[in-house]
Amino acid sequence: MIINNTAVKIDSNVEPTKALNFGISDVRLVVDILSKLYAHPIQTLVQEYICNGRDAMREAGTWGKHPIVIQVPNSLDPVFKVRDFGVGITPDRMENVFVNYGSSTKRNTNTQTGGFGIGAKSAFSYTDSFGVTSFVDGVRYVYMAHLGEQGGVLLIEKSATKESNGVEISIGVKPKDIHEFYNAVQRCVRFWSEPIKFVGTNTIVQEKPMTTLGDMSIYKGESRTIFLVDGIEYPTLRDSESFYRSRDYELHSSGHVVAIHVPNGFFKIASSRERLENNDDNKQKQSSMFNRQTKYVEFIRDKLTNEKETLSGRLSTKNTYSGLVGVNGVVVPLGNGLYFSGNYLRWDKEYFTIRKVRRGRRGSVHYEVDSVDRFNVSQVTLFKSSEPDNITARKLNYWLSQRVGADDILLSVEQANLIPCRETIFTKEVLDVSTLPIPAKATSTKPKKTAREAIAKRLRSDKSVSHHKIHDLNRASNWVTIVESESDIDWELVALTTVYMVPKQNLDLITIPTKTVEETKKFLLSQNRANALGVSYFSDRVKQLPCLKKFCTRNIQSDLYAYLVKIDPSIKAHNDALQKEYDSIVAKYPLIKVLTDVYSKESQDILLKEITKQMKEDK
Amino acid sequence: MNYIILPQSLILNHNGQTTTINKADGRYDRVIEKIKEGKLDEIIPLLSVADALCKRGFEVIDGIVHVDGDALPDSLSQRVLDFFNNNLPFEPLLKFWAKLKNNPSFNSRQMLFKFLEHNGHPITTEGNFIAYRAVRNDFLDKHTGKMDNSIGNVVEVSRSKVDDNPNNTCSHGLHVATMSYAQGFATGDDKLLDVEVDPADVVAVPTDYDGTKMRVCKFKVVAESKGLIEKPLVISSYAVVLEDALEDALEDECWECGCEVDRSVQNFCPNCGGEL
Repeated sequence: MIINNTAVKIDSNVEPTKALNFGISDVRLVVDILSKLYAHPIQTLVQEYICNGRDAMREAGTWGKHPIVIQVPNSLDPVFKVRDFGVGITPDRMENVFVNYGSSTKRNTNTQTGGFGIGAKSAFSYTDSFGVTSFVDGVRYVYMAHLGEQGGVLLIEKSATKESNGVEISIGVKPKDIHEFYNAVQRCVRFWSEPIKFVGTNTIVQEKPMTTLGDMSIYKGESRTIFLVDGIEYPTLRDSESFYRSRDYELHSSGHVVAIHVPNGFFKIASSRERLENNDDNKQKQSSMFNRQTKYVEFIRDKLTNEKETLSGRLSTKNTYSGLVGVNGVVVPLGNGLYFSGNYLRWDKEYFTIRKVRRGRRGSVHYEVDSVDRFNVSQVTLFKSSEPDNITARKLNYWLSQRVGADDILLSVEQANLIPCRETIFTKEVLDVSTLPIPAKATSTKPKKTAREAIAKRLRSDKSVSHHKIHDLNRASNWVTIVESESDIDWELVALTTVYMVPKQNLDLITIPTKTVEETKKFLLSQNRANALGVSYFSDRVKQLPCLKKFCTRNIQSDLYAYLVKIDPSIKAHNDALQKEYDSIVAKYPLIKVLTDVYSKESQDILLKEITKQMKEDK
Repeated sequence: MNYIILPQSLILNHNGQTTTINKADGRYDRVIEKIKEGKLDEIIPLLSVADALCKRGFEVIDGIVHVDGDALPDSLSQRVLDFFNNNLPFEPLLKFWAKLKNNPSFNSRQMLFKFLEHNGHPITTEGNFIAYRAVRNDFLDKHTGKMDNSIGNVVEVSRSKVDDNPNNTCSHGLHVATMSYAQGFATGDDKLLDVEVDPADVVAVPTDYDGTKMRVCKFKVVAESKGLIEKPLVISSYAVVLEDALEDALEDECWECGCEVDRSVQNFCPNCGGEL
C-alpha cells in the first residue's frame, strides 16, 4: 500500500539545546494512522491531555487538593491549554517516554487512566505542532513538539522558575472549532467532583448527582445509561442483548443519566479511548453490571419499611432516596401488575390513564392510554364485569364518554389494592358493568361529521376568533388547539369549544353557547356540567382542567381556569370548601399528608392502618 | 523569541511563554508577516489583545472579557474582537450591554447570545441590533395582515402579550429572525425587511430552530433588505429619528427665546424680534 507521505520543511530560528526525535522511523506515517484511529479527534485529545494532567497530579499526590487549570479556547484566545500540578516531565522522561509512541509509565497501574503511550501525542491528530512546558524542581523546560520534516520535540529553553512542578500543554485551535473544544471539555469533566480552574469560560458545569446508591449515580440530563470509567464517560455496548433484556433498559429511558461507576481496568477500552472494546469479555462484564434496577428498588423499599418505627425515620429515608424514586424508570411495584414508576403510574409495560376503551378485532379489550402526571389523576374507578370483553368495552367507553374531559382510571377489581395518588384517596367506588347502559350502535357517521364541520365553519367565521388557527377539528380527538395569535384570545369561546367538543359521541348535540357570562353559566348549569367540571378538577393545587392539557402552555391553561371560575364563582367556592375540609382533616390527622408522599404500597398500608386506628380512637 | 512555522500552525516561545497559533487563527498571518519583516518585537502585542481591551473600558479576567464586573458570553467577546480588529468604537457595544441589562428576562438574555452567534446581526450605534423580518408585499404582517411594517414605522405590542416561553416555537409576539429563517418564511412576492431591535425588547428566543428567530415586543423597520449585513456596526435608525425629531422641533420655535413660531409665514420672532 502506498501511503501519501510528504516530508514538510520547516522554517525556524530555533537552535535547540537538544533535539529528541520520535522513536519511530516515519513519524508522519504513524500520525496519519493515528489520526484515522480517532472518530472524534478533538474530544479525544481534550480527554487525553486532561486525563494526563490528572494522572500526573495523582502521581504527585496533588489531585483533589490543587485545581488543575484548563484553558478553554474562546474567540479572544483560541488556544487550548492544560496546566497540571503533577510531577512534571523530567528530561529523562521526555526522552524515553513522551517522545516514544507506545511508551507509557502507566501500564502497570489502574490508578491512572493512560497506558497506551499515544495520548500525549494525540494533538497531532488535529494539528502539526503543540507546546509543552515542563516545570521540574525549579527548572522550566520549554519544548516544541512538531511534525516538520521527521517530527520531534525540541527543547528550546531551559531556565530557572519559581513555579510549582507540573506540565502545561498548549494547542492552537481553529476558531471554527472553539465550540467543539468547549463541548469536549464539558463532556470530559462533567462528572468530576475535584476542583478545576477554568480559564476562558465560566459556564462549564461539573454536575453533582441527584442521588448515589453504591456504584450507581443518577444525574440530571438526557436519558441514557453510561459507564464512568475513572470519571470518563463511555456509552454502554448497545449490541449487548443482555442490556435490552434486563429491566435496566427502563432505567436507561428514565429521563436521567444513569451512571455506573467502574474502576480503571474493569473494561477493555478501545485504543482510541472513545468507546469500550466490543468483545465478549466486555459484554459479559457489562451484563454483570446490569439487572440492578430491581435490587435498588428493593433496597429503597426495605429502607422504607424498616424505618416504620418512627415517622421521621421513614420520611428521612424517603427524602434521601427520593431522587432515585423520582426517576421515571425506577419502578416500585404495587402488586397485580401495577407500579409506581417515578411520577407515573404504570400498568405492566404501559403508562396509563385510560381515555378510551375499545374492542379489538378478536373481541379483546384495548385501552387507549395516555401518560399523565400523577397529581392530575383525579379519580380511580374500579369496575367488575362478568360480561364479554366487547360488551364491557362498549359500555365502559360509553360511560367514559359521559364523563366530560375526565382523566378516569378504570381498573378491574382485581387491581383494587391501589392508592395511586393524593387526589384519589377518598374517591373509590366500584362500578358494576352489568348495570351500565349500552349505547345504541351508530348507524352513520355522517351527521357527526356535519356537526364538526358546522362548528369549524362557525369558529372560522366568527370574527372574534378569526385570528386563531384552529386545527385538528376533524381528527379523532377533537381538541381545539391554538397555535398563534397576536391579539387577545377569546378565552370564553375557546374554553367552551374545548369543553364541549371533547366527547366525540356528543358532537351532534353540541351548540356553541352565547357569549355572555350569565347565559354561559345558565347553560353550564342546565347541562349539569358545572359541577362535573368544578368539583374534581379545579382544586387550587391542580389549577388546570385535564381537558386543557392539550393547550400548549400553562399560561393558557391557567387563564382558562381563571375564566371558568369567572363564569361560575361557585366553582371556586366549592373547591375552597373542599380544600378547607381536606385541610381540616389533614390538620387532625397529619399522617394523611405523609401518606400522599409515600410511594410504596407497604408504606401506604402501614400509614393507612395507623390513620384508621387513630380515627377509631377518636370516635 | 523562538518560533517554528509549520503548514498548519506556528509555535512561539517568548521568555518561557509558549504560544501556539493555528493557521485558521487570524493572528497567524499577521505574526508571519512580522517574522518576514524581521520585526520580532512587534509580535508580542499581536498575541494578546487583552491589554489593548483593558485600556478601552473592558477587563480581561481568566481569559474572559468583562464589562463592569460582568463576564461577557463568547458571542459578545467575538464582537468585541471584531470591533477591535476593525478599529471601531466600543461605545455601541457598551450601550448594547447596558440595554441588555434592562431586559427583565434572564432566559431572554442568555438566548439572545445564541441568536447573535449567527452572522448578519450588526450592532447599531445606539446599542441595538439588526434582525430580519418577512412581510407581505404591502408591508402588512404575514400573520394577521393588520400591522403596518412600512419603512420607518415602529411596531410595538405590550410585552405582557408576548409569549415568553422559549419552548413554544410559534406563539404570540412580534417575530424577527436571521436572514436565512426570514428568507425561508417569505413566499412569493413577500418583502424582507431590516429591523432594529433594542436588546431590552427581546422576550423569547424559541429553543427550536437553533436560535434563528425570536419574539420581541418592539422593533423599528429600518429598510427593505438588500441582503445579509456583514458589517459589525451600522448607524442606528432610532438615532436618526431622534435627530430628525429634534430638528423638526427646533423648526417650530425661536432659537433665541424659545417661543413658538411659524417659519412658513413669519420672518421675525413676534416675542423677541429675532430673525427666524
